[in-house]
Amino acid sequence: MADLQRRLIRLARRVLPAAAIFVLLAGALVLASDAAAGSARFGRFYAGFLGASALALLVLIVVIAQRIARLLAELKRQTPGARLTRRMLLMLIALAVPPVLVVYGFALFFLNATIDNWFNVRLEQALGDALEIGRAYLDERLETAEQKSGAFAAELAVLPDAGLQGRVDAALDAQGVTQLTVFGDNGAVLATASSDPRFLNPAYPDAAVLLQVQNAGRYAAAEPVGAEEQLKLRVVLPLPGSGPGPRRLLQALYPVPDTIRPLTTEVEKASFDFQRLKFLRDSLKLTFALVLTFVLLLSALFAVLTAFGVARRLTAPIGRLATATRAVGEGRYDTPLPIAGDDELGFLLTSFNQMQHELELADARTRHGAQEVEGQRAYLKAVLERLTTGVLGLDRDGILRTANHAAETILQVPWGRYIGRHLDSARQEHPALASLIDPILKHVAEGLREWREEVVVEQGGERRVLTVRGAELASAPGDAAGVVAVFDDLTLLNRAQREAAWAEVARRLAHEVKNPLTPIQLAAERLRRRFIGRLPPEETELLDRATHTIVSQVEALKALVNAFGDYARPPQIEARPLALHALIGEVLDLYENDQRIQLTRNFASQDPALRADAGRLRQLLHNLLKNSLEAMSGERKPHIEVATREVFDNGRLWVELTIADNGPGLPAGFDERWFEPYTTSKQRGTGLGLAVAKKIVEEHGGSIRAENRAAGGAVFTVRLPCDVDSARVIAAR
Amino acid sequence: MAFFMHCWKSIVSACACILLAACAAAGDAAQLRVRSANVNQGVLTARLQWQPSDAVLDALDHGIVLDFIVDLRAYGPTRLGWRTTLARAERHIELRYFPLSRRYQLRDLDRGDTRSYAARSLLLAALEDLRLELPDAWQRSAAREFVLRIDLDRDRLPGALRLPALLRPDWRLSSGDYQWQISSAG
Repeated sequence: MADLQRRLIRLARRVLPAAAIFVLLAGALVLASDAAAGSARFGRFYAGFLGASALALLVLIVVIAQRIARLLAELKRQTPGARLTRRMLLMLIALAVPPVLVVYGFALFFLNATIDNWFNVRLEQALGDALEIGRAYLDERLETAEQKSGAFAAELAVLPDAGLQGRVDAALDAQGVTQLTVFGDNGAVLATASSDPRFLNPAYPDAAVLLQVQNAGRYAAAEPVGAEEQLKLRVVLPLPGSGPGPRRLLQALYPVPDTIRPLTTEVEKASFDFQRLKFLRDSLKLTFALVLTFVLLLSALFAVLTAFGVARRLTAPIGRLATATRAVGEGRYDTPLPIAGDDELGFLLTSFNQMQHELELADARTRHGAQEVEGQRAYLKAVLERLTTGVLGLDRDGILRTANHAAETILQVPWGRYIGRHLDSARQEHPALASLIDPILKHVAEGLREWREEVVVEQGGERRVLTVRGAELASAPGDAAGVVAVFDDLTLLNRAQREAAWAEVARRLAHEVKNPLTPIQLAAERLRRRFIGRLPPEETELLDRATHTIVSQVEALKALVNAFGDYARPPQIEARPLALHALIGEVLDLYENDQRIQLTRNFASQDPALRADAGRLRQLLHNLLKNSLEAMSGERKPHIEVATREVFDNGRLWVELTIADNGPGLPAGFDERWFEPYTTSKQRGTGLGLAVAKKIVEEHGGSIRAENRAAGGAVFTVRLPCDVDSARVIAAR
Repeated sequence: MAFFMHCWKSIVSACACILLAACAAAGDAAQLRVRSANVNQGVLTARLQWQPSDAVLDALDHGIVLDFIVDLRAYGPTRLGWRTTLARAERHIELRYFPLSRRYQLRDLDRGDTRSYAARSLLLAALEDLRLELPDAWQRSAAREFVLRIDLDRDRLPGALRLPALLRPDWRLSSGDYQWQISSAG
């Protein structure tokens, strides 16, 4: 309903102005026709028409001015379609207005020429002559009538008032008059007679007639008389007076003969019409010029207004199309165009909408693809960051494009600084990496699809064994996008392999060697018991030394095998809550009585609580103390300092146990390998003390490191995790 | 050339008329005015002053009929600021010329009275000394205040003259309202 109402309003807004203009134009034509015909039928509409036309012109001018201002503003704003509207508007005006102007000019010309042609000079002359003839005839008739009236007045002059009526009646036919009347001096009718019923009431001569009668003695004139304005010859004469008394007037109305009267009437009418038309010629031209001017202005302005509407209607879809095209160019596809119609423009708009839809779908697919790529990139980056394998990505020119976190961790190099730079720059700033970078760059230059190498990097006194694998990245068949080099740190792996190998050796030693040692020792002791004292002294002494050597070496072998056994034993710790200071105190008490060494305890204020195997920790302490004592065997005042402290690191609480000595310090080249079995600098060492200590620490989730002290000597630092629950258990005891 | 001259003159005339109309719209040229008037025993006597332009006289001599509307209104005493109209009379007076008889005629169209004059000056003098008999009701009227207005009826002009008459001041003949009062003694 509202839609229908809106449509009706829109239709009315479009139709009513045009209808009003049409009515005004039709009215103008009617009035022009009325004016040309000399009619007065529409006389009262002239002012209304003039006002309505002026108002319509004013409204049109205002509306057009408003449209022009709006168009200029749109041109200034460079609104899409404005320039096309201007061009089309000028074209439509150029097409519409000149013909209107030409028609206007020709219409005026022909109207003027036609009106002028109405007034033929010879016709005017003929009509004037005819009028003069008519006047001459009337003058002649007047003269006759005046003579006859004079004679009759003389007759009446002698009669008394009472006898006038009879004489007048008798003379009516004889005189051939329409009316005969005798007025008294006071204007009273003394006698009257009429042959025409329409002239029964005689009219007393007016002042002008009386004045003429008084001056000239008579009045004679042809006059249109009565309601029908019949032309009559009027003669007014005073009756000649015989003596003093009231003066009487004779008035006679003579008819124009019936044969002549129509002719005179026609002549008068024709001449009169001609003269009137001649007078109205300029007015008629002016009227036509005014009507045509209004028609021209209305038509021209309405044509301009219509041109505005047509241009806007034609260019509006194009303007919307331009706007939508700009929006599409900016990547927005949310401007569907309303279909203007089923013509070519409508087809164009339909096609544009379809294209826009397709572009929107393609854009959505592209965005989706980009999101997928981005997701994959993020996934790949997350994977790369979490890989323990170092990854370096290079392009074909050796420019570093990517490096993961593991690469930085393994090599301790901030690869982020070198992204976008040639890998050789990293090599120059980190010469230790030459053994890694050189083969990578060499293989990149060679363009090998896949390669593998094992390199050793000596960095910061640490030796790392890396296995490097390279592969060419292909973005498209036959197109190489770059190279990826991945490397793994085999140092820990090798160490673990070695440790596993040593564990296997230790297990076999414990199994294969330890078993025969006891029979050997027992056999040696049996030999001593049986033959000592029974053999000659020299031989007895020899046997004693030999069996003693066998027994002592077997003991040594047993100790060695037991050490290997400890190392090879699988981790079977019995962890319980324990107080570390108490445990350390128990172990150190064993060494307190040894006068050769000086022991210093420097414990933390609070006894750290651990969850650990007390026996294994005692063995750890013994191993480390024994290691320090053996290292200080040449010192005059060996000094061992045992200290503890709590540290908070990596989100949890640790206790650090340090055993420092004032010995010669760590041997040159001491590194992680020194914690492997059978690595020792001592003449009589088994090479298993530090390996077992390290094994015990790692069994408890801790770590061990060794370093030289600044004041001389070495310090071993054991870090073990504290346990809060154990602290509560210990406190409860 | 004649074509353009014709057109040019017409266009200039039309534009001039529009401008004249715009200029003359503000006020009429006082060509016609009532000098005095009186209503006595049902007869209106008015003395007018009319100085017709040459265009109007020319029109009269060329057969254009001039029709004047005489509008007479009688008012009662004003009460509470409201003036009651007691009577109103609208009379039509026609001036015309007959070329054959060379007579000018003044007609009271409502009563049919006709007076004929041999000269235009006599006709104009007769109009200036106007005397109209009013209906009988006016004789009994107790009105003390009158308003007289005389206008040329342009609607009765020939069609060709009507638009120019709207625009040219020559044809804007109107006396305006002439108001007078009579004393109760009179």
